[in-house]
Amino acid sequence: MTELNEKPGTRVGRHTGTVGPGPLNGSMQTFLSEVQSDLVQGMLSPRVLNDPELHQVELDRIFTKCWVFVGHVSEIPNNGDYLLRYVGEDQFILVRDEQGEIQLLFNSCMHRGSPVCRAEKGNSSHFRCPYHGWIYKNSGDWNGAPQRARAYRKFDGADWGLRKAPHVDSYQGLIFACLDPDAVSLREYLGDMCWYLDVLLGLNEQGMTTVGDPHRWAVPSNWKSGADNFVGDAYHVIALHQSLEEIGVLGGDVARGVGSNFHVALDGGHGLIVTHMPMPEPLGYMGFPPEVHSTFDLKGLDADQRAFLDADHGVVGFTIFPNLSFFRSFGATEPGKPPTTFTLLRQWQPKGPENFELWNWSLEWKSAPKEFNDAAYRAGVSSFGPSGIFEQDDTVAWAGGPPTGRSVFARKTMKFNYQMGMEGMGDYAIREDWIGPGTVSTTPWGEMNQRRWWHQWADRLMAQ
Amino acid sequence: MTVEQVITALPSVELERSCIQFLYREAELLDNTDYSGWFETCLSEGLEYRIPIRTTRVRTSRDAEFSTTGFHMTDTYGTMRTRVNRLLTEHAWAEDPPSRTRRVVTNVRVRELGPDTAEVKSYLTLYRSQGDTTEYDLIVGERQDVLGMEDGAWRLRSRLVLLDHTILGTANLGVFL
Repeated sequence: MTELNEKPGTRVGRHTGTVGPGPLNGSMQTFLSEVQSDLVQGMLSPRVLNDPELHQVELDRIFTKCWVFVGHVSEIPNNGDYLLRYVGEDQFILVRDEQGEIQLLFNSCMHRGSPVCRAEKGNSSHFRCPYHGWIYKNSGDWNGAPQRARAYRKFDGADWGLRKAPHVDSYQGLIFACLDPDAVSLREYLGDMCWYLDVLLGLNEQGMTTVGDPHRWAVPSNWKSGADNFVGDAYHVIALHQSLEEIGVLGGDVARGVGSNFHVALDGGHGLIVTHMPMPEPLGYMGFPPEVHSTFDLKGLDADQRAFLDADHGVVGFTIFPNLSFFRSFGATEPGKPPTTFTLLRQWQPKGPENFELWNWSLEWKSAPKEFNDAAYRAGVSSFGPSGIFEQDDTVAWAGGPPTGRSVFARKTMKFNYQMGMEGMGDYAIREDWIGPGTVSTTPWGEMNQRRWWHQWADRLMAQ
Repeated sequence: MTVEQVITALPSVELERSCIQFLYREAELLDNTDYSGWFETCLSEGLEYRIPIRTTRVRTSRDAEFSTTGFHMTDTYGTMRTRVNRLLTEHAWAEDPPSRTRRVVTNVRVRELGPDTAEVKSYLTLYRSQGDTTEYDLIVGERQDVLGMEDGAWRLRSRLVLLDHTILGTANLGVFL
């Protein structure tokens, strides 16, 4: 006896699914309004660093609405190359399909939700669910199922491909995806950050490539602590990274912001820390020695971008809202050894409100000599990454967020201070003569970028 | 394999014992946070120390799980000295207050490579707890070492740590494996 719920001839339901945030409840709305008005006073409730309800709202209103970094084009060079990647806490397959298009496929079979891909990386033309054997092309399209002729005679495969990100695009090698069908373009989302990505990553046709696999490790802290640090926190270097100065790996003048170390705040919550200082020997132009910078070809850049490159801005960190950061700096693996310049991408992957995974990619210039790239890789890994002698200490500092954020006492009595650089607080001021886009400060002793990042966060959570 | 072949393939009792004692002493120094003692008495100046990044692959993949280009640590004698010097400052926050560690070293296999060189494989289970909590991290893996006899004592010439983790379940590698 055939079991049928529908009358014969009834159209079997098509599942398109829509992405739209659920409504905020009243108390959440009240709290976020307070966050906005607190920020104007340079204050922030600790609750933002550990609240399960708030965390769900972030997943719903930030990670399904913003463009989120999912990988670098050099990680999937060939058709069929795939990686498992995350948007918020959801696992996706980042894959270059048979047409060479980059797709971001939700790793869950449309039949019962089993993962169709269980290796982190590889090459495959299809993904087959282990449970009942449904098969999908690497474009995400439904491609068949066992016993199809008898089991799925009136089945329309076009409706049952893997769910996928409606938008995937890249800029200067960085692949981003957006789960919101109505999103603005990636270029519009990045806005003025494109100008800086050009001067940091677009210095020749070959561009940069990732080295090895990313570091991944579990940090007992809220993901926003990392984003907050890299968007503008030059202040912590003096105290938290003092040990590096003491053993001679970090020059004291660098830590104290001698030269000019300043902020660039951009619309959209993105922000940079830029350092203007002459590079130590043997480093030169933009922190790269002659055998590297002689391979740069700047014809795609405009006059202002070239002026930026000509002006010794070799140390740069940034955060692209919400959770991608970047750091380029010079460093030596041991005192007395010549420094070299390394370039890192880092992502703060949320894992609940109390934990995140830190992903750290090393980038190298395809055009640079192997000796330079090898030395740069070692310098990067010895400074940042799980064993990095800088980053080890950051993980300890950030661990304070979750216990404070969950504390009833803290929520009643405490606001974090975000007032550095506010009117009259210090000598931090807005610089008028900057050659690039953005609002630029005169010194690093302010928290303009962090305040703007948190404003963006609150605005995104409250958006209708 | 005949009984005679098995016996000749085994390392001598003295060789095996001395290598095992080296690993135990190394673990003791590190668990007692005697970083200088470890650096000065256990490491060879030619040290190569690597922890490759591991990824999950399907069984039929032709690519190895352990990266040949990506490392959690890729260190030399000089960079180890940098790390140890940092731990001796008053501002190495990741290990101050220090972790309570216990390195359980087992399944030791010794193979003589030459008159003054031995390949030593061992399993490491590292318990790490820090601060005012009952929580702890476990770091588990195999170590593939080459020891060299220098001035009458074994020293570590190379170490490859093959972790049983793709994502490290500890906030930092402020401890040596």
